[in-house]
Amino acid sequence: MPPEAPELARREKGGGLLAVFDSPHDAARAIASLRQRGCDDVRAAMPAPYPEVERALGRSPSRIGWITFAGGLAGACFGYLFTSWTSVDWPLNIGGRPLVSLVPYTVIGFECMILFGALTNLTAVLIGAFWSRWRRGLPDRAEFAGNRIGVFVPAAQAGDAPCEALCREAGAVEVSHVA
Amino acid sequence: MSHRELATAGATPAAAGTPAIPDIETPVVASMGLPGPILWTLIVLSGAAAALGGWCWSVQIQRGMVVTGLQNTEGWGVYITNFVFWVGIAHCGTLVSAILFLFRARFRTAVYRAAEMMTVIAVTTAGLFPILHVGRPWFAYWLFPYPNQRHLWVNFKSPLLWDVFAVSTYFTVSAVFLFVGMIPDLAALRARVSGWRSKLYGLLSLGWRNSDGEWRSFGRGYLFFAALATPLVISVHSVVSWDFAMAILPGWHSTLFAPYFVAGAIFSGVAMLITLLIPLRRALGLSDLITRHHLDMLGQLVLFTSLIVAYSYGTEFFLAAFGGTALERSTFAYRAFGSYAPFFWTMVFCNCINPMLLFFKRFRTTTAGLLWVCIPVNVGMWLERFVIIATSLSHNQEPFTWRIYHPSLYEAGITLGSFGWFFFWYLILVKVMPSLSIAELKESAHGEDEEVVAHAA
Repeated sequence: MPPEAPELARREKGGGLLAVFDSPHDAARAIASLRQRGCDDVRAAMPAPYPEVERALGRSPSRIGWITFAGGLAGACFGYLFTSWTSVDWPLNIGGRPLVSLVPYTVIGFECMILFGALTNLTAVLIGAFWSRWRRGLPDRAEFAGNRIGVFVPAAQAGDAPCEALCREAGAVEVSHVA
Repeated sequence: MSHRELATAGATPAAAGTPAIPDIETPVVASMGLPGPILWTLIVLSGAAAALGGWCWSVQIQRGMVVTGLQNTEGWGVYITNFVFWVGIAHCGTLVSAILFLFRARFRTAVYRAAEMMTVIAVTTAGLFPILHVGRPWFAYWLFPYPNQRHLWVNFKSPLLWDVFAVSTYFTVSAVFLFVGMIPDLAALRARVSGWRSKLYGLLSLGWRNSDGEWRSFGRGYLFFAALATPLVISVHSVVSWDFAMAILPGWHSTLFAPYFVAGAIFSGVAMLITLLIPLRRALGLSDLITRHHLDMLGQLVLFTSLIVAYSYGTEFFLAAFGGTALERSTFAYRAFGSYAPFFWTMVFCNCINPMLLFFKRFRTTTAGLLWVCIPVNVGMWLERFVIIATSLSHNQEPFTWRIYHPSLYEAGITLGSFGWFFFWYLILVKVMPSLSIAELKESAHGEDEEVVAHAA
């Protein structure tokens, strides 16, 4: 079971070990070694989503897809229901066609599905990003947006010397303890 | 030069065999410097054209629709032509950013941001035309369903309403797609720029810090954006085509219209993108990142869609000739040999014959060759929409209503203004926002490294 947010915040206050890498390969190697050693809560900051780093971190898949699906479904329902309701609310005979014509309303239902799905997806991405930012303990350094990768092990998990040695072995250009 | 080669110039050296991360920020920041004299001239000229269009519109508002060449039976003219044309141009961005993303076409990385920017501006431009066309723009909000005292609702059975929903959804989704994709890049650049730009990027990057959790949400969310945008892009021009196809007018009432319009939209959009990218990559100093290889791939897309469009033209005539409807035959004969024949044959040359030059690699890999094909494609695709609209309305089922449509100078001014509006905002946008995806270029360069390492192994 993942630790509760206040517990994570408490741990972060204690700082941790920060290793800086030039290459995603090295960072991935270090993360794999650290996780083998039992450090489950390793975190990383990187200028692009490098697949090997993400694989090494072993995060579970995001649930954004389900949230987007729910948003899209709600949009499609809204599209059909809204058009049907307005047709009944102001009944207008158009060429003798049925008052509630589901076939032409499919266009509106489809567009609403995409619109609601996209906006739900946007909201989920932003909430997910804010949430992960709040719980991480990585120092905010410009180089992690530039050409370096930061790997962070919270103090509660970092066994100091062994972790440091593992990172250096993997090719870290800088290893430091951050408050 | 590949992304990897570019990297070697600016990146921090890494240990042997472990590739470093390329420095994409430097050329991107350099591309956003103050415009040079040529770019300034283009911005001023396009701004002046937009202002001319605005003045023509003000005259139309003042005097009414009588200043246009529109009359009974010819109720649609260059305004709807422009609307369909600009919606078509807008299709390229989503094709390049979403569809090619799902197909894992790596060449899109260097060009998709510029294409997305083009999409957003083109949809905005397209959105002006229904407002212009309704004559009383202050009532344009009647197009949207809203609660009112009279308990009236819009007619959802009308394709025009479908258009309202399709185009407004397309604008929202493409703008969101563009914005979300830019967040990591704005975060990467906020420390590299200063002044108002730094504040703006800091604000728009929403505090992005490149953590793995953020990338996890972003990557998954981006995938679903692409998955949603792909059917959307196909639906939007299908819906636009149904504006015509749902009418029982010869030349319009065809099930072919949806795929034919979608292919045409992608064709014109990619041609416009090439037309924009060739001068811009030089003006912005991005020739090392947007290479001939990228242009070659885009050229192949133009060729492919040109073949679909040519096939559609042929199918239309085939169905008219052998469909057994005299009216349809008459309309298509009028299209090819009637008053609008010069436009029709120019369209055939620009869209079907001239693009065949792209079968030759020499044309796809030289900027002059590509411009020789793509500029006429832009003209040809505008003419295609004009020919579809004008010929069918001029030659409908009732011969006593036949007449030739002559656009007025005000309509011509507004058309020119729309091009000015589009280029003005596009040139501003590529100077204010990063026109390349920094994060994806870094990821892509890394992918190239992986391939090299695997090959060496």
